[in-house]
Amino acid sequence: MAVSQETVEQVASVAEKYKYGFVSDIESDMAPLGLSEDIVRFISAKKEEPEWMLEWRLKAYRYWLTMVEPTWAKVDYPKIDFQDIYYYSAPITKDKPKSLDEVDPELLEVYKKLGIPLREQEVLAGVEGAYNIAVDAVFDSVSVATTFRERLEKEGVIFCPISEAIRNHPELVKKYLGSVVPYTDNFYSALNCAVFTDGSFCYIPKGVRCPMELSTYFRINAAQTGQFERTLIIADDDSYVSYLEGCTAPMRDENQLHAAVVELVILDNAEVKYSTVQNWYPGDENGVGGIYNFVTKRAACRGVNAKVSWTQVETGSAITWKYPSCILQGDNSVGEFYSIAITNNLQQADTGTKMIHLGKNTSSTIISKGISAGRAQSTYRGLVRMGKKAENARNHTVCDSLLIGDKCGAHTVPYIENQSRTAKIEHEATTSKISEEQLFYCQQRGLSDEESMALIVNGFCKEVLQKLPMEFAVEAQKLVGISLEGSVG
Amino acid sequence: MLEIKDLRATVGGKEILKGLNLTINSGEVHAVMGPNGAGKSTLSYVLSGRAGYEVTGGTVTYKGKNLLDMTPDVRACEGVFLAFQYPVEIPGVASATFLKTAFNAQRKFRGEEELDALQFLKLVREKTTELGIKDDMLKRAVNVGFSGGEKKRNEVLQMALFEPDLMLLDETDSGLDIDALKVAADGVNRLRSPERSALIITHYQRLLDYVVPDFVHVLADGKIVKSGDKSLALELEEKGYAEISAA
Amino acid sequence: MKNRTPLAQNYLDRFETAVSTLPGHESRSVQALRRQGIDTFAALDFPHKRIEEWRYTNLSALTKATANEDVPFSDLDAIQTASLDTTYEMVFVNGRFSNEESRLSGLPTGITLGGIAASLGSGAAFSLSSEEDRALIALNTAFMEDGFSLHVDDGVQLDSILKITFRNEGGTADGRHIRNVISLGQGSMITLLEEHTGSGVYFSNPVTNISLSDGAMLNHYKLQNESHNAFHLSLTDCENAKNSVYQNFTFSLGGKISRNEIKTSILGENSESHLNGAYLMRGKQHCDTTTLTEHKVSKNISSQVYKGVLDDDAHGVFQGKIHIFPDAQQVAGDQLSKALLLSDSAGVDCKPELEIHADDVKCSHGATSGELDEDALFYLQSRGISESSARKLLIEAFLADVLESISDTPVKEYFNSIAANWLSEA
Repeated sequence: MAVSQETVEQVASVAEKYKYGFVSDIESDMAPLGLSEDIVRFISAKKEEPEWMLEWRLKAYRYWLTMVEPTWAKVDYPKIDFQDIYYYSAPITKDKPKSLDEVDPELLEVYKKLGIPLREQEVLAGVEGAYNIAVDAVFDSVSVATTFRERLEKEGVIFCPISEAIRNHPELVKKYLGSVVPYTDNFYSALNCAVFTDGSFCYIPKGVRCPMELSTYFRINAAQTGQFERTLIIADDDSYVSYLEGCTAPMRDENQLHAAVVELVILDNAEVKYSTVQNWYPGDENGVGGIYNFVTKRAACRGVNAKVSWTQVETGSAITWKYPSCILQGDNSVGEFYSIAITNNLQQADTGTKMIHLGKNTSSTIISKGISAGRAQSTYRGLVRMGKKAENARNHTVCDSLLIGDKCGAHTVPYIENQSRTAKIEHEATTSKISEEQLFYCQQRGLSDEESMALIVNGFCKEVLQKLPMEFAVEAQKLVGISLEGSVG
Repeated sequence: MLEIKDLRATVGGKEILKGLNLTINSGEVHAVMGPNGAGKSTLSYVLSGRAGYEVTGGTVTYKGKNLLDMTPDVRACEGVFLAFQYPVEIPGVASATFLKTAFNAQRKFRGEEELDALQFLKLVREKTTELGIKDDMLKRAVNVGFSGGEKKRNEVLQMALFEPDLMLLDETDSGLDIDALKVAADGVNRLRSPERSALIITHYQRLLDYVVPDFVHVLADGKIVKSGDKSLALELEEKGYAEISAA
Repeated sequence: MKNRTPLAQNYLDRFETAVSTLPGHESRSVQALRRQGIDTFAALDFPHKRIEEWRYTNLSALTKATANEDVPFSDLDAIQTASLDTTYEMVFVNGRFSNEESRLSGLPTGITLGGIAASLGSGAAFSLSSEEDRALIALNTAFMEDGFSLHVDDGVQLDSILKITFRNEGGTADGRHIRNVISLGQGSMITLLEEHTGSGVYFSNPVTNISLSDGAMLNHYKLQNESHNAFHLSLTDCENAKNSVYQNFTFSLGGKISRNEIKTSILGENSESHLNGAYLMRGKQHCDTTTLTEHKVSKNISSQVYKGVLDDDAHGVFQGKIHIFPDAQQVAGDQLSKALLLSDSAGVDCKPELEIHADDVKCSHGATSGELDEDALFYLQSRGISESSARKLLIEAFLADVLESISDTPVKEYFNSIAANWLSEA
């Protein structure tokens, strides 16, 4: 028995429960509409950037003009008018706040509503339940607050908005920005290089284990704006950091563009754990509105024994186009990719990873769980490449898709390239529908349809959920349930 | 038969055997006992010539020849048989094919006539009957889907078939129930003769109740630290390795 | 428009002469068909690496050459094989049917087998694949010369194996554009063995269209043992009506660059499509296996199992896609691709793909690649088997299960002996 179509549609019509869909009335400083060299100069000037940064942006912009939008992903959307987007929007503040107390209370209220802990005091005062976590809050185009900076500075950890890092740590930014994702990399990364407005910068010095989790919270608020953030994390020799990223946006009828670039540089014996819960507004049940999420994320394991772990829970966005990748250059380096992608209604996700093995004894693991419901389309697209010098490299990939309802699609497109005799690659993938027996069993024991569904899907995703830091895991589990609301009868 | 002098070996750059001395004469059964990590399995792999076990010093003379110069298959043809602690599964290769290929390779090496399929099958049947092993095993792929006990029986069957001069038993008793243990012991005892020797590598003295050794050695930190007769095994069982090694 | 490849230009230049001399030149409809083909080809040129389906196979060694002498030469010869004797054999030499060498007398009634050249000549038109985006089919349509046309009447079953041999000798500039058409009537059954062999430099481009009626069954074997200096780019399209079974096993050993592309469309319920194969490559050989299985209706099963052994500088490619259309429920599709790399400079690219638009399905794919199992190798050696014998034994074991899946014993034994020959030449 397939889930009855009638019920699927009936339940799908129940209003979407996107609880982050509110709009905040915050006065903004906006750039003129559209994109040109002048806009690039405008952004650079707003950010008080040095000349070299502007030059780099202009090179990227000129290169971008020569490029065409990629069409290979299995996503379908009307052509984006890049001249109909605001590339800069910042909440108006009198002076830059020196501490959290000076941040616009209106803004703090937004983050409170989103459940983002911008409350250093509580943690410092030992309030129960307050997370020990440092947050950089990015609102539209700018970073509005970064918590725990002093505490981190004591350890030598630099955690600040990237706009500030460009001014204060030019030697680090010059050395590493664009070194993992050059502006020539792809259409959206070129665009990002030209117009990125803010994002987080993080440097973990040699031998330091970052004392708390670092996190960036992205919020798109203003209408018709694109968000182009840039994140750069450098883990120096023998260091460790766990980094979390969250995103939400208001419910709006038009589509908004988000084209971020994240670069991770990992040196000898260092480790970076990067976790994302992506919950941009997905659009309504008829596919109206929602964020276009075109993101380039890449980690370069440059040192020996370097390790990177990407964990992502992708539940939001109308369209997701995202392949967090690992370049395993250092001998014995390790790359991991754990992903849950849930698409419902008319969402489309084309996501996966690239594992490029260059060094000896490098190893990688990919676990991807895709869930499609409603009329959504979900694609896993991944590349595993063993270079000639990747002696004894190993990859293991497991890629499972779950279908809920008969109007959705689930696709798997792995590219597996082996040039190394001693390398071993194992790839397995399955696609199946949600088990009627399991659903019935849960229901018979008293769970509602949706509770049963959430339970089973959480079970299907368990291997990935376990990889998330505790606080995130709880949130992600709830999100799995919410995202699938209206997908079952 | 076998003379090991000041043997040193590394695995992955780490020195495991640190100057091991051991002499086994024809007809003798020796047991090497030791705690985990003492280098027991390394000794068996070095003697059988496994890649990755690098000899960095010392000599091993077998029947007057330099054993370390020989490739693993030549050692086997010369009569060195290793009963594996974890016999390897080889999907797609039928046991019968495997046994016959190996058997004839050894005969050819000795300049003897190879057996045809029929003659060989007859011989195998004799051995399986003798040892009480079901011969449906021959149709299955080598060790694939075998239980732990079946894998060890398969090792014993091969030993019976190849009639080696030097038997190396690497933790043959691990994971065996009492019946399987008896089959294994029986296999070794049947082959015991003044011309054959055996080296039993084990953690426990259980197997030694059934295959009584002439000599017992204690291996600790890559060296033989104590030697004695079979009573040493019982002493070890009673007092533990720490005390004996320290003494 | 961008520059044409020299070989494509060469074909365009030769077309007008060809259209007035090739079989069927007196027929307006055949001429029109060829013109349609050359127009499509002119727009597409040869496939290149920017086309997703061709990302792993580079044809520039072929397309850059206007004359065959330009193609770099390999010293390796095709594997010598003891041939399999069959009651019936149809032989094509250099792309043309050879009546003298064929043994077709006594074919049971209900089986019609003939050359395409003859039917083109008599003006009998047949429907051809109308796909616009496959350049090699278009080229074949423009230049097709001969090939076999096989029709089996309803209910007719042939118990023995029908062998079709394509023997090519290099030296001439023309490609061998073979066009084969197979149609099986309701409940009919036949076993076919295609053999492609040759020597020297040439370009073979066979296109085969198969249609299986209700309850028909085709066992289709193919031995690709072309010259190591040849290009073999073949396309097989099969359509399954309900209750029909298509089994294809392709054994590839030859060719400098070879591609075996199979597309099956399942159009009726309770049908099965099984595509299996093995490839053994050495020297600088490149072998591409590309399959597409389309499940357009419910209640079907499909499977693909391919195993490859790559030595020296050889390169293997496997691209396999299972496509389940909307509402094609209760479908099971399984796929497995395994490659063994024997040398440091061998390589393999693999793209197993699932596109699924229905929910009540069970699909899986697996892909592995790597070297021989070191533990197994040591175990065999420790029993007295020399390293080279042990390697051979393990490679045979690697190939065993896919060769074992061949249901016709004579073919199975034939292919096994060829594999043994290949291994002994290592």
